[in-house]
Amino acid sequence: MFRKRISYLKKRRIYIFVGAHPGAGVRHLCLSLAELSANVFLRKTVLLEISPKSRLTEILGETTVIKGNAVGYKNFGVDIFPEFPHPEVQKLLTEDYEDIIISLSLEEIADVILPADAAWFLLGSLKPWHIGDYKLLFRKLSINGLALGRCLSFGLLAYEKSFFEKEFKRSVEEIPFIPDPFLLQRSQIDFLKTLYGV
Amino acid sequence: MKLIAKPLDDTGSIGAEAEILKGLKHPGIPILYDYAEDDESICLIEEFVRGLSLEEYFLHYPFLSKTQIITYIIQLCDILSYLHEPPVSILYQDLKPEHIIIRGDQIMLIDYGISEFLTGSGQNHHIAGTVSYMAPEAFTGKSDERRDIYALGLIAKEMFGHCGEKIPASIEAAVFHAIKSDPGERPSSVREWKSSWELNLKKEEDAIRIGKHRLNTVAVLGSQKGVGCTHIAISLTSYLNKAGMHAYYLNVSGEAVCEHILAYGREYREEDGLIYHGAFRGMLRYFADRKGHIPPDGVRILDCGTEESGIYEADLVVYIMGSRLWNTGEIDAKIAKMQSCFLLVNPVSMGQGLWLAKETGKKVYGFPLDNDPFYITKEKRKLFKKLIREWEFVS
Repeated sequence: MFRKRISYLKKRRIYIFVGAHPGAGVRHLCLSLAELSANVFLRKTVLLEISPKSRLTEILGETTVIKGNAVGYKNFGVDIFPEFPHPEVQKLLTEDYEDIIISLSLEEIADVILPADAAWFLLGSLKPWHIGDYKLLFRKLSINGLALGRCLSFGLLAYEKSFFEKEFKRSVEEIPFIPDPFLLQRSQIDFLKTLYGV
Repeated sequence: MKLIAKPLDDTGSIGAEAEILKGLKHPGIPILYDYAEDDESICLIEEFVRGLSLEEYFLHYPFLSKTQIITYIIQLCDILSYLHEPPVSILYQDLKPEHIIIRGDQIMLIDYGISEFLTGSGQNHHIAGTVSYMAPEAFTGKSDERRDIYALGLIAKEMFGHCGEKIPASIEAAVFHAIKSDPGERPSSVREWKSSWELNLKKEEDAIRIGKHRLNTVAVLGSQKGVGCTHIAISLTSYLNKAGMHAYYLNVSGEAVCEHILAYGREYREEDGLIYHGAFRGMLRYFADRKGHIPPDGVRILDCGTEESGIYEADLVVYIMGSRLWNTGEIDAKIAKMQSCFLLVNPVSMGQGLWLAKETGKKVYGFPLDNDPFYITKEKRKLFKKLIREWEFVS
């Protein structure tokens, strides 16, 4: 009934997820990781969606959380801030959150100043018609001088994986299908733990 | 090798057959390697034709499929055209099920004993043949190509009598045209007869396969970006092509999908602005936008993305919604309530599907979890088959 807090994860951690194209599954993965962090590892977790218009507002609970100019909601033990204004990110880092999960769209990358110690994850499908999106993503990331993170993708095929790795000289990992981010299964938890760094 | 004793009343038919067969080269005609004769016998060295005659075939297999019958008729037409037309110019005169040998999908026409060279005047005075397959004019000694057409029509009629399926209207009419008792009312050549029904048959077959009303355009529309519109449109194109309906994919949302596929995909080839990969056919944008462009035959699958403009010209609209909790409320009720609109949730999610069905009062289909749009899985086949059937019913 009572889970033990993991003592060796005391340090604040920041995870940044960037989608190469719409429908990459960033929001889905962020929610899954936030759920794991808050309810399995019992850490104080915040999820920020840096986007001028977020669809997350449609599922949020009634408990309102206000941080500066941002309005968020508590849901499944996670503070969720949809449509989080990017100038407020630095202020939020001073708060007492243990895990900060940031979902970032391709358009917002240039504007946001992000901490250097964050763990980066790039998400997208490897279908041939999305390869151009990756080129754009990598170009944007290199302009910003941001460290390139781990590349993840839902539903990988062997050829696409090898093509991607050859084209971009990067390895890519497959994310298992997660039907419900609020109802994680053992195999999904095991995978999320590898992202979490446990 | 056939060693045949010459009968006393032999008028030279075996020798005549050998003479005729020696000059013929066709996959449906047995090859005569050589022949020799003396006063008592004649020796033929010819290809051994293994198989059942059509007459025996009917005894073993009382039902023939429509496709099988059409294949046989087309082959018979090819053999007869070859015989009738120059440089061969031979009148077969003894077309009957006994002389048609079936070897799998290939048929052979044997026994050229009473065949003779066409005189060109229609006056072939050799009154011979099998009475039940002889054209009325053959009894008077006036025979030309239309005599063989008559027998071919009778055989086709007989074959369709063994068919369990519905006979296409065009071929039924053509059969009756071939067996008219007045030779003047029959088609003048086998080639003409074949072309009279072959094109119509193809059109009818396509119409039957595609539905009661011809399906020309399918629009695939996403309720928002990233719901899998391109993936589903490509899957649908591959499915329709695999089902023999000739479809091609076209992106109308302004994204260069086919160009990217061609540049980064594998095993694709391009021909006249269309790219091919397995059962998939996709049209390149620059080609579709070109002035004076003639679109290829088949069903157009429009990948509209989130652009509504393309859907109003479509016969069938596939409207896709994401299955996540935050996708609720993104469906445009006006489009969803269109009669030709079918709703799809991607990938299958009971919760969102039920919500959508309740909201719109319409049936909602679930797209299965899928990795490769070019490969048609059992689940995808089942779904698309159901969609097309439902569309046929609605329209």
